[in-house]
Amino acid sequence: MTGVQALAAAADVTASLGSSDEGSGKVMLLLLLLAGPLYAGWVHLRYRNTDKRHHHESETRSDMLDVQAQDVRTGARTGLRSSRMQGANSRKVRAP
Amino acid sequence: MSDLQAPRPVPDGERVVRTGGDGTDGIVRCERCGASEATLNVATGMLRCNFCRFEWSTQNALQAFDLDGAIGDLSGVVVGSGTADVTADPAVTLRCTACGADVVVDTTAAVHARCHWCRNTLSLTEQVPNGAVPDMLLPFSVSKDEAVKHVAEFVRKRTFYAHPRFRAEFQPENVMGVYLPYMVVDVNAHATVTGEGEHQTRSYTVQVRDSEGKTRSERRYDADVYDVRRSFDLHVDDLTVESSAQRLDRDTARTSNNVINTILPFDVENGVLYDPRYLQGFTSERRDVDVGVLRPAVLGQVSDIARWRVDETIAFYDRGVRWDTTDVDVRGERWVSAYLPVWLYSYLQTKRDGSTLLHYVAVNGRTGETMGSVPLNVPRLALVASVVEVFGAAAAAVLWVLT
Repeated sequence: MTGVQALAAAADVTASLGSSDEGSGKVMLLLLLLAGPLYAGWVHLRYRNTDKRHHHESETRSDMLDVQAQDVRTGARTGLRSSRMQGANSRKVRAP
Repeated sequence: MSDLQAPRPVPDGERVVRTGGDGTDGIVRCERCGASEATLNVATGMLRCNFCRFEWSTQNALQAFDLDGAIGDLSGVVVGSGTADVTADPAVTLRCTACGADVVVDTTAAVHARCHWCRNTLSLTEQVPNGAVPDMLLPFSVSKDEAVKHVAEFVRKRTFYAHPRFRAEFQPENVMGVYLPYMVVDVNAHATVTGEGEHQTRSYTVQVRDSEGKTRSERRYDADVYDVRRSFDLHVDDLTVESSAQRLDRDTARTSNNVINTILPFDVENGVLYDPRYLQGFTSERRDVDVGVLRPAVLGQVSDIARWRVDETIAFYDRGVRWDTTDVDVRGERWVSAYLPVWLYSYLQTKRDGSTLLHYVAVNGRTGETMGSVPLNVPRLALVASVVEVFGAAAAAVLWVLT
């Protein structure tokens, strides 16, 4: 596993485990165990900047006009473990 | 933007706005003294005759060609004549208007050549379909001295793990001013985004028993589920995309073009009429990608902008929204080709296996925004990362014992 991949994997695991006290402990343990690859990944990104790009979605001027909203309640979900909706992608640039 | 796809059909009603002017190739003379040598004065943004020091500027291009009208009024496709599909040879033969000699200009990297007989500077002014003469140009406003400082400062912060050969050979004074080819696109569209959203209605704690019989608290959430749909008009202004196949290659294992992409955006609304004298003393890269090839990627970016903007309207869905479809119905588009100014420091790294990796440090020639790629000293990084790993593992062992 390269450092950059370790960084990405750690971010995913942190997001999924980080909501409870026990989860936070596991995250800390994982981060310490992966300290070397995470450090290498951080240095790689700082020097090579392979993750950098122009954020066209936010840095391009745009106007949104005549917004029509249609929201229909379809049901309820109970006993959910995560504080975030599963599959939420509203801030992902290449969503469907 | 590496996802170039097959060209899509051009919508009906294409209108071409002529931006070529009346200039003819050859010697472009100073209006006051007739000299053929003029260059950009970066401090003022004006052209200056190198003999009589007369300074002048050219008109704002978008206003001059009426290419800055309301985006909501756009329908069909409007293109500047400088966006014509590239069909002609990049090598252009100019006839010197002073002595009659024929001089060849390779437009891949320049629009000027010096007549080898009479020493006059000959310039390419006419738009022929080889991508060398754009609709407009944005002059440099960041001087070379400032660019050198930006590049040196960027690399200075990244020296410890920099490759020793790069450190030894680093000369920020070698930064080059390059006019790179871009397309500037306005889009009038109607967007519809649909998906599912969750709104939290309750948050509470439950006691759960694990496999060892121990009880612990866990948080649970209840949420209402909604079908979410947003439909709106979207006006996108000055979306800027690279229009050279070389710059569109974003494979970071081969090149660092992504850092050049990162220094966007430019203040393209201040672009001026193309005059070859702005390019004197700089190099330029010819456009070699056409509107039809770029259109799918541009529409993809418009979809991204639509979803980004619609985020402003979904605050109610505090647990998030999963968008399932994004439909963009384009009513009008306006394409203008432009040369935009970039200071580039490049370094070709040859690896042990013989492969090469081209590193750039790029400075936006208008805003000074800087981004770059510095080759790594991999053995040194591996050594330090190993030491960090040993300490991390020791700390993890201590944490494990304590908890």
